[in-house]
Amino acid sequence: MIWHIAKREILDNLTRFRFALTLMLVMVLMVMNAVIFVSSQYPRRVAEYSEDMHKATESLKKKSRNLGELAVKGPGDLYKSVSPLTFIATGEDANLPKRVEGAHSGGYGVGMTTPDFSFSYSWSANWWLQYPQDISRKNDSLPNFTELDWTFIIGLVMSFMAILFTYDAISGERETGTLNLLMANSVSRATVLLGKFMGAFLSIMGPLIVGILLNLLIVSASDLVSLNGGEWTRVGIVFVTSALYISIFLWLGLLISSQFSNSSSSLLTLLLIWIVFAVLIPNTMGVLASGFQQVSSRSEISRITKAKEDEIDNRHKAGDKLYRTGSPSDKPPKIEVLRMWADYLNEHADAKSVLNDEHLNKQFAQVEFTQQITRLSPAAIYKYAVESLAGTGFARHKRFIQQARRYRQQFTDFIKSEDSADKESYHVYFVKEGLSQKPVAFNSIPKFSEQLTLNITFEGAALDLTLLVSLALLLFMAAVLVFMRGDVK
Amino acid sequence: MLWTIVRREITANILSFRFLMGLLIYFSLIVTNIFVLTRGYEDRLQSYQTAVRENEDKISQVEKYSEYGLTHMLKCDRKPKLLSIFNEGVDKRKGNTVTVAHGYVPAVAEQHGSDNPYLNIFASIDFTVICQVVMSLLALLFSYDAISREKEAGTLGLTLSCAVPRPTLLLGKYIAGMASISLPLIASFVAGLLVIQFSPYVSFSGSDWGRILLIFLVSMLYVSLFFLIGLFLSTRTDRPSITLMFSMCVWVLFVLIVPNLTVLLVEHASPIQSEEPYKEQAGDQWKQYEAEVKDYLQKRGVENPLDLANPSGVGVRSGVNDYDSGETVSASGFPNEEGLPLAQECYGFKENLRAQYADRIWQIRKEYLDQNPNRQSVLALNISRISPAAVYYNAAAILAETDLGSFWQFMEQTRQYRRERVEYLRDKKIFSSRRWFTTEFEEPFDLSSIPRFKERSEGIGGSLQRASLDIMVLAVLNILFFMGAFISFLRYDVI
Repeated sequence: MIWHIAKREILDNLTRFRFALTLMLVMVLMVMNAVIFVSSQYPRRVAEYSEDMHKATESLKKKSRNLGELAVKGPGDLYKSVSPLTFIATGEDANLPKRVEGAHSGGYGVGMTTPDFSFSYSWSANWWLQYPQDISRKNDSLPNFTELDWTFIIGLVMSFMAILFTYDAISGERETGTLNLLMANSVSRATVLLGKFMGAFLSIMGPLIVGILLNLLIVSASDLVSLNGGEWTRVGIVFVTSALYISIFLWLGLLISSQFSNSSSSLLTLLLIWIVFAVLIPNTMGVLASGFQQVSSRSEISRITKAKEDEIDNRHKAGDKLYRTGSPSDKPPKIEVLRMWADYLNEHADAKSVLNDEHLNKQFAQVEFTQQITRLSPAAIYKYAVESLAGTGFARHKRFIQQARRYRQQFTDFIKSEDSADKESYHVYFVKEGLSQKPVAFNSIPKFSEQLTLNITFEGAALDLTLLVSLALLLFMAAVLVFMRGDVK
Repeated sequence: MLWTIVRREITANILSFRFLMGLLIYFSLIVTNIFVLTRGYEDRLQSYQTAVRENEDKISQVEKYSEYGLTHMLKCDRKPKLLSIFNEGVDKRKGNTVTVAHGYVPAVAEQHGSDNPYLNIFASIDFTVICQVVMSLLALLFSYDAISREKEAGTLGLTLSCAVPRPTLLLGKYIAGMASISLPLIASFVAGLLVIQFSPYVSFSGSDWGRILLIFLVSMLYVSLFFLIGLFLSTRTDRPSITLMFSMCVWVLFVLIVPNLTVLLVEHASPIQSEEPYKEQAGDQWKQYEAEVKDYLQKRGVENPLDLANPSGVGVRSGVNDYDSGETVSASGFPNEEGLPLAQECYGFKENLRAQYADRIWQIRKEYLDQNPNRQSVLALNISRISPAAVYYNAAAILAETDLGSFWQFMEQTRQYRRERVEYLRDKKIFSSRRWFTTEFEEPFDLSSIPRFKERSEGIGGSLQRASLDIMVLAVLNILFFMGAFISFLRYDVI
């Protein structure tokens, strides 16, 4: 019986304008998305990434000529790789930094002649992990816009269409009086509702599947993008998630529709709910969250850093202690001078590193807090789930930072082990003159690489997927319950 | 007769469910949004004031003039625009602080203040966006069934069988519809203004009120356009459900898709070229500068300006990045004071030349900016004018002084300020003063007379002039759709 009703609904829908509209819109948008992705977006970003990587490798090679120099100057820029599933969810990647910097900054020189001693040394600060804010978007004067990825097409446009498909499902039949007639037959109300749902679901999924197939066809036909098994599985999960997401709006539509006896009122109510949940909540929370959780400003941070650095300087330079004994560039250097300078330089780098990390953690906490509030909106939940699956967006960026921090340790360990192998070295970490001056085999330097397995992505999406499932179940139950107890006239 | 129709329509509208819902949603949205944005504005204002204070502190810390060249470069801070509460535009996104020195020509701005740049991944919404998205939808919902429903119900035939001319009926419907949409808009706008008035930091000046009024009027023009589109579509079809689908289609297309799509297309079809060649060109110029300085020093028989004076302690910090360069020198203990005049002359030559080179290099950078990011932005803006939503947003941004053009004016003013500063330094012969590199000699040293930066507003007339194109477009579209509705209603089959 359910199928009977569903079939009738589908046939009815096929002749309607909204069906043609959906089909056209989805096809055009999906094709456009794929074409832009394969023709310009992806190749450009991949080219940029490999150019960046090339530069980074070259500069690392240069530094590997001398272990001491490599230890002080650090591994250089670490870049975030480009996910081939960016066409599914761009994840605001353009507004996120594409790299972290494992480099030193600033050169110093001191020359001094006093009656007691004379000193001269020029050095560069030891490297620490910096988080530059340069975003990968080239032109920040362009108006803000939403990329036309799947999260836009499905999250916004298709949810809107889902409402247009269901707003009159019950209220329209009430208006024309056919609901009465229908219920006079021996069908249960639940069956009618399920049938209506199936009908709407299939007629909206039809165009969507056509669009997605076209999209994937174009993407996989391009020889630039080749998706592996894991990625195809992720695309599959994204598809199921999308179906789930659309059914949330269908059940919402049926729920509201069964409350009203005239279809224009139910449409209006639904549109307003849609605007609030799909458009406004995801877009207003950024401003709100910054009011709740304060993060110290950049000038404050630089003030704190400067105070800390001054404190270190004063401690080490009191009475020209640091200069009196000798310079690390003396040949041969005194070991106590090396120790003193290593302490001094390490303290600086550590202080900057700790303050930097803390500040970034606070900023991230604020973003995550905002995301939590935004999860009031199913559109946002859907977006986060799909971003996790596609390996883009903020969650991915956070993972990137975590892995970069892990790499920091790995790199330091490598330097130490490499240095201990050299018998001529003084083994004083980290002042350039205190370490081995031999070249390092470039291939033995650990390289930064991100790990992104199906498991990790799935774990990241688990919360959002659970939320979506619960929401769909909740709305389903509410719709059935309300329709069972409602009036058929 | 017209008033009878208007009265009847307004009564019907006000009693309708959609009016109640519209009022409720609109009121709560605008009031909470304005409240939130006012808080945001207060935060930004505070960080602006902190920045200005820090800048003054920095000026007072200067001991030697050469510190202006690198370690204590001055900042020009841009005050957050008050009307960004209604339209954020680029006010938050583009930077608001600019570094100026004789070797630094400002071209891009940085962000000061308590912001978390990662929050930029969340889009934000202001009054203009609410009008753009919600109000346009509401306007369509008020007008889509104006004609076709009366036809379906059969009352259109009845009304027209009385002595009511068609134009009067249409005009009546328009006036009544607009009146009933404006009511929630005005109510929530006034409530929003009250919310702002509670803030101790905000007070509107006369020209601010003028701008607010203009923004409101432009918003009405935009809303009226969507009402007319709905009315027009309503006269083209026989059934309200079809009109509704068409209106939704128009809305999705022009409000959701076109503004996003144009920017996306422009970004991909007309990309920005690499900046590297320009940076290289600038780097070459700086090398040429170094060579010229070296030549000069050689002619004077020294390698370094301070060689002859031979101070016992010297600290030099110099920095060159792609387009800028600067140097701070500090020296002390001069056994040979006869060498000082030469050092002064050398520095005078060197820093004068640096300012000239910076000007030349700015031309290179300007070429890049004009041909790449700025061209792209203007192109995107022009193409996005296909959608009235974008036209409206741009007009409101210009009136709120938060648009890109107004930001560019600010940048131009900072460059103007730099020129004034360089003139001042030259006039007072500061480049070739002893105070440039040492504090050991008594010399007049006056920091207070150094020109300070102050942003000049273009005035309401200037803004109106720049916004006139967009306002005209909205007005013309209004007239077109009214005429379209009028003509097709004259030929409408009423039964």
